[in-house]
Amino acid sequence: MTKSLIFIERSLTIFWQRLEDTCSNDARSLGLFRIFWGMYILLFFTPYSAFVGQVPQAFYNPPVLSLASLFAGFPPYWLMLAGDLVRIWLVVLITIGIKTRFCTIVLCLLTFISNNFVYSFGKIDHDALVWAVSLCLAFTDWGVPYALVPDRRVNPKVATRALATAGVLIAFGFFTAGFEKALHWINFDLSTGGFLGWFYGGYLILDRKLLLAPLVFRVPPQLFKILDYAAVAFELSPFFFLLAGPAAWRAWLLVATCFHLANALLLNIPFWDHVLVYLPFVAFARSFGRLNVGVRATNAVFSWRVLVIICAIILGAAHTAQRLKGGGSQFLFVEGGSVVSIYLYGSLVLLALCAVMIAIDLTTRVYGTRLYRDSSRRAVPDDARSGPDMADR
Amino acid sequence: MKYPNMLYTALLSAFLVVPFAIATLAPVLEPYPALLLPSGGGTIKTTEDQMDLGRLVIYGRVADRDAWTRLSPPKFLSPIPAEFFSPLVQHYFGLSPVGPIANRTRVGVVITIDTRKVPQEEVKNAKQWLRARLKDSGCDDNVLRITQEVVTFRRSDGTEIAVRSENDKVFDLH
Repeated sequence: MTKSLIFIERSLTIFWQRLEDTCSNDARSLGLFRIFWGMYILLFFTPYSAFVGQVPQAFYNPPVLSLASLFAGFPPYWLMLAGDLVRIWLVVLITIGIKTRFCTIVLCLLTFISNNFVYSFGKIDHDALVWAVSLCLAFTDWGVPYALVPDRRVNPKVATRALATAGVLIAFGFFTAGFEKALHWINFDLSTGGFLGWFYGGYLILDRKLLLAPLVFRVPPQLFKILDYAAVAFELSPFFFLLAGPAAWRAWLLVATCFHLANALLLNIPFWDHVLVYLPFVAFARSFGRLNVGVRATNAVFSWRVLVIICAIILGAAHTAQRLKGGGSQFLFVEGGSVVSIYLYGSLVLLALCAVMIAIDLTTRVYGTRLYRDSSRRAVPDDARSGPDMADR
Repeated sequence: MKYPNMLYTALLSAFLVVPFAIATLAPVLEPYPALLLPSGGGTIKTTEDQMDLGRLVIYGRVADRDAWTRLSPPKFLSPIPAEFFSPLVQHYFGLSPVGPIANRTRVGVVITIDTRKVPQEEVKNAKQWLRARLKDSGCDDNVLRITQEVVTFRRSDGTEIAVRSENDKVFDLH
């Protein structure tokens, strides 16, 4: 029994070491990502749940297995509004880099609680992955570089494990999406379609008729069977790419971004929040190495970090003002029913930007590895800027 | 700690797999929070010229006329996101009691879920809210019509060919 346990422990050690190597990212890159993450949330994914305090209690239909099922109805407006404001300012603090670790953990927990009530209309939306990955980032050093009040550095083993866990969460999330599809979509029956099931329902019933959606009618339906197989292969494959190595994993992340772009164009389903799930693995410090993003700003007055602080505070104040006036929005302060098309067009830009960033990182990584291998083979001194871990120097 | 990776993996797996298993076997019991992404593994026949799709629609009566107008869910519900339209309408916005719902799980077990009993005071508030929305939509605020329709579409271009009402309810909001 003990021998079996030791064998399992050793196997898992190798497994996790492999994942940690694949998912690792330097602290400077994570620090830069933190700032991007915060600004992104303040602009495109702002916490907004106060409206549930203004709807009739008769609409209350919480998930059976959730915290909200213990409550008799939606919380009062003032409480949901307070929750929104607290979360908005936690995002501001995280962006600026004040007690990031603590703020991130509190933000994620508050978000799970708030969203539980938002999903008490009888349907659960699936944005838990964003907050689960953010919770993992709380246990890295993302709150150390470029931070006004830096966190204490964590044990490097904890940080690498946190990022590896984030990778596992992403892979598992996609597995849950692909599992049921695999049961029904993988067959040789060309008279049925899985992708088209999504398309027809969305286009004809939910009025998802924008962008490239109308073009779907021009394509013979049997051809979309290829998309059925591709979707299943893509959604069930991330664990393999996690184990295959850093470049392979980032290639999968690039495909994932393109997958969301395709869904936005053809099905009008934008998943722009997943930009925050894929970009923690991008070595921003390597890609932006030529820009003056040094931790010690040479010119305090024009430091780009001062600009970030000012922008974050202005956005926080703007959101506060909008909420206190009784309004609110997740995306660019836009309110009302017409926001759907704005989400869609905006998501195209955001996903395209994400794809470009991942592609640059992947190219730099692959090119850097090749140069390093060539240098090693020729046994010449390495160029300090071209090694595979350039960002760590 | 003697077997740290084993403990960590076991805890993480439990956290991930248990909710997934529940949601897979009995979707009506999908827990929250849970790390799940939308699966939507259904399929549709793609060879016939026509196809039938079900939809839930709400209508308001045009003010001073005996005609109904279809209401746009995003505008009618705002700021409630439009994706919650379907479950809200399925429960008739809480206006009419919905009996216990029996759901068959993938393992054959039937789970019956009692819907929440809505007190009269809450029904009154819901009617008030709906009246205000109907007024904003330029409709008569006395009635709201909720219909389950089966719509026949031409598959080649999405043209609506026929509409059949399967379940039509008109609610007096006073």
